[in-house]
Amino acid sequence: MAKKAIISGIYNTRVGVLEGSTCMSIHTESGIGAVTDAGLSLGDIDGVLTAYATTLPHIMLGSVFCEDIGIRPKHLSSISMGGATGTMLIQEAAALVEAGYCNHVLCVAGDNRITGHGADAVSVISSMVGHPEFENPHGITVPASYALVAQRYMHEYGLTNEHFAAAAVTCRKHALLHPDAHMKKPITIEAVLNSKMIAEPLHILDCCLISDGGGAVIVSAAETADDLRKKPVTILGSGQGHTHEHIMMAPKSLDNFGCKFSAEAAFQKAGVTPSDIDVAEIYDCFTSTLLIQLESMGFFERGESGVAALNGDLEIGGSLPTNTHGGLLSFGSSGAAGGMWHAIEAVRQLRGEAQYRQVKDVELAFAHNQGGIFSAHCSLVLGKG
Amino acid sequence: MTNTIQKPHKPAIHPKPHTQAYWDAANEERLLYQFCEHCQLPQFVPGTVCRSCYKDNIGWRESTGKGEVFTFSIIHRGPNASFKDDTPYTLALIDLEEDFRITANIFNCLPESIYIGMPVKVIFEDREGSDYKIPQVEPA
Repeated sequence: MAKKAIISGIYNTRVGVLEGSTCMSIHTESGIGAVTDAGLSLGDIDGVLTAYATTLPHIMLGSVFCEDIGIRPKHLSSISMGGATGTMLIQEAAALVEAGYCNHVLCVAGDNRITGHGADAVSVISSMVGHPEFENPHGITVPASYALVAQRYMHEYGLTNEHFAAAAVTCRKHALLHPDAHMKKPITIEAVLNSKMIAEPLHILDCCLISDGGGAVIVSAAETADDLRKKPVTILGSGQGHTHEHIMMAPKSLDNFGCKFSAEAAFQKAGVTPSDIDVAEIYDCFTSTLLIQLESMGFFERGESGVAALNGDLEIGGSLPTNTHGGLLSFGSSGAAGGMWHAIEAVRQLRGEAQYRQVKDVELAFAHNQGGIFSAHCSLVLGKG
Repeated sequence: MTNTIQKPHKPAIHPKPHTQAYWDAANEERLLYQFCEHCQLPQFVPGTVCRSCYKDNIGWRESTGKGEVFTFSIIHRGPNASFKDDTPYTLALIDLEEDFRITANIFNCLPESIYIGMPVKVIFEDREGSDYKIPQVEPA
């Protein structure tokens, strides 16, 4: 019989401009932080999974990290799936534990995208995503790719700029309650609507941040729980969905992406439905991404997530508290770590460690990451004990 | 500040063996798309096999160049300095009447006049410094 996988340790660095940081210093702080949180030592770690880093584009980032920190795990891989990588590391770690390969897998990601790339950060990342022959010659950007989807979705289902702005305001309110968040000042719907236009209909305050920072999660075999310091969080279900890489190659309606499949798989495995979820931490590289995914994954009917955002339903205390740490929009965004922070917040909510952000009576949490242009998706359903 | 000496270049097109025919045709102002005779399906972007039957007996057909705007965005911040002089410019997904989709900029109209479903036709941009003409669209 397969073993059961739990999340035993979590850690995030401070997020924002981290002067003097490097990709590896962020990885190291994150890894040691998560091991300490779990009540383990680095010597207990028998599996390591890392992401990729744009500031350290090495073909074997996992080996670089393990050498740097001084561990020799039994199992080591690096996964490079853009924004989807964070939850994918956790899903893969759970598979390793369930199959009996490892007892304690350290998943770690981090980048110093501000101090590492400087003013070139946006161009560096944009140039990696567009199709070299059929998109880049037309001046495509990452925001423009998402804007193409947002524009069509608004036309089809009636979401508005004000709805998108309400999502940004919600995330900012939550970030102000998190001591490690990048953003420290409140914003209003008017401020979002009046902010600089990047790619219509997306303003700069509809776009995620670029941050320095990292995070780590330890996935352990449930049978080790007695040796661990914190209450376990169980990985009840997980799933992936993949439909394309470039937005011109996505399923043509642009409203049915891999998140639908990844969420369905995760819910089915956990034996729950979207209405059972107490808190949702969902990849929000743009405000529109968050709302479109909420609808595609079944949390709201088509066209209703925007009204929900305006009504405060996504706030702490609302019917579906969402991105309670502030998300990529306001907590921070630093490569694969950005998505991992969604999963880390889900764990904090389940443990009851979210302090001022704590949602009452959390039994089930949902974490979702997405990479590319709605291209690659990985969802997790997490539960207490 | 003007800097005409070091003006950056837009991304150059480097055709692959399976896209060379497309770009050669573009230089003759013809828009090609792949078509699998076995599946009777159009395919774009070009691939090395048909994405339905996975066989490589895939050929080319010529499009009328007539289509409509499926969605668009007016870009105010380009990917890098080479597009700065063009802003704001329009990026769109265009559905051609032969049932394939291309990415294009919409030329020869005011950005505020563009709408989803707008009929367009393909034109070919003769871009300075580019070895290949680039399929774009304008209002039909």
